[in-house]
Amino acid sequence: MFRNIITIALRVLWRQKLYAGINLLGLSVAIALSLLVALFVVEEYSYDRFHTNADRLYLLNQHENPPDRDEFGSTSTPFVLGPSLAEQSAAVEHVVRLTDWNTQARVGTEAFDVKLTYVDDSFFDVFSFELLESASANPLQNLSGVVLSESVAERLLGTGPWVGDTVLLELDGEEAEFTVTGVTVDPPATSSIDYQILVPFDVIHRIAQADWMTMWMIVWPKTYVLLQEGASTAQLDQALQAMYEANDFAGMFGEGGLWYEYLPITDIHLHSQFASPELGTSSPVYSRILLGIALLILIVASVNYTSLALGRSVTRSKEVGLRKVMGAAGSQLRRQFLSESLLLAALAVPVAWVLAELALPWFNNVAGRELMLSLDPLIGGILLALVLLIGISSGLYPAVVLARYNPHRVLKGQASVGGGSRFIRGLVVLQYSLAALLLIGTILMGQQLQFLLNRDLGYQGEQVVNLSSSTRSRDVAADLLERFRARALQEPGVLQVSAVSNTFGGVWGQVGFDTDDGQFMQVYANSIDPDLFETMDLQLVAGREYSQDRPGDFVSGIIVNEAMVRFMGWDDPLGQRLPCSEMDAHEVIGVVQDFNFQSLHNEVEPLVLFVEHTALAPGINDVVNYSGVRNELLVRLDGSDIAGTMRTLEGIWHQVAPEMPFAPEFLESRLNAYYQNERTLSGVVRVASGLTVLIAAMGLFGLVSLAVARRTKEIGVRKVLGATVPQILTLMAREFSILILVATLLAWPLGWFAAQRWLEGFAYRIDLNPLVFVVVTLSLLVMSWLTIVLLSLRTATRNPAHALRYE
Amino acid sequence: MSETMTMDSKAGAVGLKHDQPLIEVIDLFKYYANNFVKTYVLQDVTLGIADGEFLSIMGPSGAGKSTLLHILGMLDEANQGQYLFLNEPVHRFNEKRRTALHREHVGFIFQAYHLIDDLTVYENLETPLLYKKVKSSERKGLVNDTLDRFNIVAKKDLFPHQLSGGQQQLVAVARALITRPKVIFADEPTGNLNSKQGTEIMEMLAQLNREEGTTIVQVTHDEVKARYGHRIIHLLDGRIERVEVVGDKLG
Ligand SMILES: Nc1ncnc2c1ncn2[C@@H]1O[C@H](COP(=O)(O)OP(=O)(O)OP(=O)(O)O)[C@@H](O)[C@H]1O
Ligand SMILES: [Mg+2]
Repeated sequence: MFRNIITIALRVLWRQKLYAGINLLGLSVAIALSLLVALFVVEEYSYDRFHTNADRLYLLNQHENPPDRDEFGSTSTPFVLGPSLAEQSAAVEHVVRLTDWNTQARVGTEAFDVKLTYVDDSFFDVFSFELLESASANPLQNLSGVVLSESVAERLLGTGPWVGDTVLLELDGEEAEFTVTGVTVDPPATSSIDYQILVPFDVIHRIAQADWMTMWMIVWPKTYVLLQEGASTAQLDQALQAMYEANDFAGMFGEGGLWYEYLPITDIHLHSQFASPELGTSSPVYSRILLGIALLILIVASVNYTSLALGRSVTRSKEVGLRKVMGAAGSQLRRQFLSESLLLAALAVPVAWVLAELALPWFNNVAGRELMLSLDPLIGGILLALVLLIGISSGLYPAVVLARYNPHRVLKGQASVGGGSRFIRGLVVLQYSLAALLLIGTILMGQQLQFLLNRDLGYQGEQVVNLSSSTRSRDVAADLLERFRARALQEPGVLQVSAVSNTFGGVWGQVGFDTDDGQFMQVYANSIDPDLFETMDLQLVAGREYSQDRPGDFVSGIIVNEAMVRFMGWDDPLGQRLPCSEMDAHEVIGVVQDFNFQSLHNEVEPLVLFVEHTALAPGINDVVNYSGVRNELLVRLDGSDIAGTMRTLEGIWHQVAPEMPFAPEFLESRLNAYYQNERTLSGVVRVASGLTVLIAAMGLFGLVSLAVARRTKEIGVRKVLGATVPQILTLMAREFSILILVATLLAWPLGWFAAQRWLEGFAYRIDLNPLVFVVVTLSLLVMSWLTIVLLSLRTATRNPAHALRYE
Repeated sequence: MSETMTMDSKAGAVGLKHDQPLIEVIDLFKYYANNFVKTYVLQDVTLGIADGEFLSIMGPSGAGKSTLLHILGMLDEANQGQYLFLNEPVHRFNEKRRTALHREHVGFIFQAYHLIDDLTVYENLETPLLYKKVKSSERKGLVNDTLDRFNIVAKKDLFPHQLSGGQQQLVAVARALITRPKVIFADEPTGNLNSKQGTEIMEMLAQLNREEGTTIVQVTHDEVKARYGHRIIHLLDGRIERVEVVGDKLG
C-alpha cells in the first residue's frame, strides 16, 4: 500500500510539473530559511552549556538602590565579595573573579592589541575550558605566568609548542615580562567568557590600588560562583545576609539598598539584564524575530500548496470517485493525498539543504555568527518535524475536501467545482497581507535608516579618521598627540588634528556629583583638545572657544551644550558654574550648538566639555565610562588622495608611536555601526519580504493558470458573443485584484501600528508617509496584473472556435 | 432454467421465487431539491434481484437508470425506501459500513472505462485488492491470473492512454472482477465501443454469469445487448414501467 501510494504521488508530481515546481521551490526556500534560523536559535540556546558544572554555576549581579540615586545594577562586584563568600559559605565550592583589560602585548619588536582576562586560579576547576599545553597542574598559580588561547598563541608566538615562551605585557604604562604557562583550545563560540590571555588575578595589583581589595564600595570584577553539589542559592543568601550585617551595608546603601542576583551561567547569553559586548549577550528577541519570519515564510509557502491542491482538486475528482468505486474508504484517500504533500515536503529537504549551504555565508554575516550546517540528530529531528508540519498543515484540508467527493456525482461528470474555492480566496488574502506587511516594513525601515545616516548631526563627520591609541596614561596620550600633530599637519592632505577622551561613534562618558542642595546630578562629560571645535566643525552659539591665548581656560573653563543650558535653566549661561561648591573655581566660557554625540536613538542630552577635569574632579563622586585620557586622535583630511594620505599617516604613526598598532577608522563607519542592529533587522526583513513576494507570486501564477485552463471554454463563448480582449483580461483580473486589494488594505493598519512601534525606539524619526502604503498596494496589484495578462493573453486572443472545438 | 416467474402486483417487482434475493429494494424514492422544488428521479421503485441473475435495465435518457444503478451499487443513497443486501438493511448503514459492504461484494463497470490515468494496467487491477487489504503475495497471484485470463499480460505496464478503448474496457471489466464480487454493475459498458468489441464484452459478462454465478446488473440502450439478461427492467421517468422476462433464456 505504502509503495503504491508513493509511486502514485511521484507520478502525480511528475505529471503536474508546473505545480510541483512551484511548490518545491517555495517549500525549499521556506525550509532552507527555517534551517538557518534553527541553527541560529539552537546556538543561542546552547550558550555556556558545555561547562560540566553548568547547572551549579552562577554569575553574581550586584543591584544597588542608594537613597538619593537611581537604582543601579551591574555585573561588576567588589573584589572582596568572592573571597568572602568562599570563606563564609559552605555552599560554595569555588569562586572565580574575572575582569578584562585591554592593553598591548609585545613579542620582540612586534606590538599587538590584546585583551587580558584576570582570573582566580580556580578558573580551570570551575569552567570546562580545555588545556592544550600546561607547565604544571594549575598554570594560573605562577604569578609571572599567563595562559593563552590557541589562536592568540599562534598570532603572537607563531607555531607551538608555546609553554616557556615569553611575552611583554603593558600594565599601567610599564611593560612586564610573562612566561607562557599554558595554552588552551579557543573558547567555543557558545561561551559567554571569551578570553585571549588569562592572567593570574593577583597581577591586578599592578593596575588596581591595594585597598580596593577589601572595599565594598569599589566594584570592578565579575564574580562567578560554583555551588557545592546539592547546595542552593538560598544558602548563599544566608552568607550574604551575614556579610550585610558585619559590614553595615544598611549604613552605606540604605536598608535593603544592596542585593545580589544569582544569574545561572546558562542564562547569561539571553537573559542578562546587563547587556554587554564583553559577555556577548544577546536577546531572545532576535530568536523570536527570526522564528517569526521563518514561520511566516513557511505559511506563505504552505499556502501555495494548499491553494494549488484545492485549485486542482477538480482534476483529481475522477480519480477519487473511481477509487471509492473500487472500495476506498475516505480515510484511505485522505492518507493518500496527505502522503503527496508529505512527499513533496520531503523532496524539498535536499533542495533546501543546498540552498541553506549557499545562503549560510550571507546569513552568518547578517547574524554575526559562524554557524555551520551539519546533519546532527537535532537538525535531523528539526527537518523531520518541518516535513511533518508542512506536509500535514498544507495537505490536510485539500485531502479532506478531495476525499469527500461523492463518487456518484463525480462519475456522472457533476464534480462540484466549488470545492474549497472560498478557502482558496482566504489563503490568497492571507498570503498577500503578509507580503504587503513585509514590504511596508522594508520600505519604512529603509527610509528611517536613510534618514538616520543623512541627518545633520551638528558636526562634520566626513573625512575624519579616528586613530585610537590604547594608552591609559594622560601624559603618554598628550605627548603622542603633540608629536603626531606636529608631523601630520605638515602633510598637504591633513587639515586638522585633535583628540578627545571619548570619540564620536562610541559611548560618551558621564560624571556624577552631588549638588549643593543635595541632589545627585549626572551629565555627559568629555575631555577635549582645544582644536576639537575646528577639527569637527562644531558651532559655538555663545562665548568663546578654547585658545592657546587663554591657557587659563584649559583648567577652569567649561563649554556646555544647549541641552545643558536648558537643563540648568540658565538665562545667561556664560560665567555660570556647576552647582557643586566642592568643585574648584570654574566657569562656562562658551555654549556649543547641540550636536548628536550619541546615536539618534537618543535626544541630545546635557553635556559638559573641558580640557582638563582638574577643577571639577573634587566634586565628582561617580564616573561612568569616563577616563579623561585624550587617547582618541581625530584627523580631518581634505579628501584628495585619501589612500596616499593614509599611508603617510601610518608612517608618521610608526615613528611617533612605534610600540602602538596603527588602527585607523573613518568616523562615518563608526557612526554606521550605531545602527547595526537596525540594519541587520532591516536586511532580514528585506530578504523575507522579497522571498514572500516571490513565493506568493509563484502561487498566484499557479492559480491564474488553473483559472485560465478552467475558463478556456467560457472565454471562447464570451468572445463569440463579442467580448474584446481587454474585456476578457479585465474579467480574469477582477477576482484576484479584489483579493489583493483586500489583503493589502488589511495590512495597512497592522503595518502602520508595527512601524510606529519600531520608530518609537528613535528620538529622531521619519514621518509615516501614507504614500508608502499606497505604493505597496499598487505594486502588488501591478505584479498580479502582469501575471494575469501574461497567462491569459494567449487564451484571450486565440480564435474562439479553437477553444470551443477542443474543449 | 426452470424457475417459475411470478408477477408481483406491485409495480412490476419480480423475484425468483425459490431463491433468497441478493438485493431487495422497496419503495425507493430519489429526488433533487432545487429552488424548493423536488424533482423526482426515482419513484416508488421496488425490485428484487436474485443471486446469480443477469438483469438488464433499459429506458430513455434521463429515466434514472444510472441513478438506480449507483444506489444499488451503494455509491449513492436513496432519499426514501428500503435497501436490503443479503438481508442487511443498507439504508440504515453509515458510510463506513456501506463502503465495507461495497468493497466486499460489488464490482463496477462504466461506459467511459474510467481507469485511473496515473496507474498502469497492473496497478489499476491491483488497487481494489489494496483497499481490500489482500496480502501482497496473494495480490500478485490474483493480478497475474487475471492478466492471463483477459489476455493482457503484455499490456500490464502500459498506462490507460496507451490502450485502445476496447482494451481499456477490458481492463475495467477485469478490475471489476478481480475481487470476485457477488454482483457486477455495468453502466452502458459497451456504449463507447464498436460492435465487435461490444459483443466481446457482453459475451464475457454472460460467461461470467453462467460459469461463476456472478450476478450482473447492466444498463443498456441496445435491445440486443439487453437480451443477454434474464429479465429487462424498463424505466420511464423514474418508475419501473414494465418487466420483461427474456424468454429464450429459459430454455
Ligand atoms: N444533481 C442533480 N440535480 C438535479 N437533477 C439531477 C441531478 N443528477 C441527476 N439529475 C437528473 O436525474 C435524472 C436521471 O439521471 P440519470 O443519470 O440517472 O439518467 P439516465 O437514465 O442514466 O440517463 P442516460 O441514459 O442519459 O445516462 C436526469 O433527468 C437528471 O437531470
Ligand atoms: Mg446514465
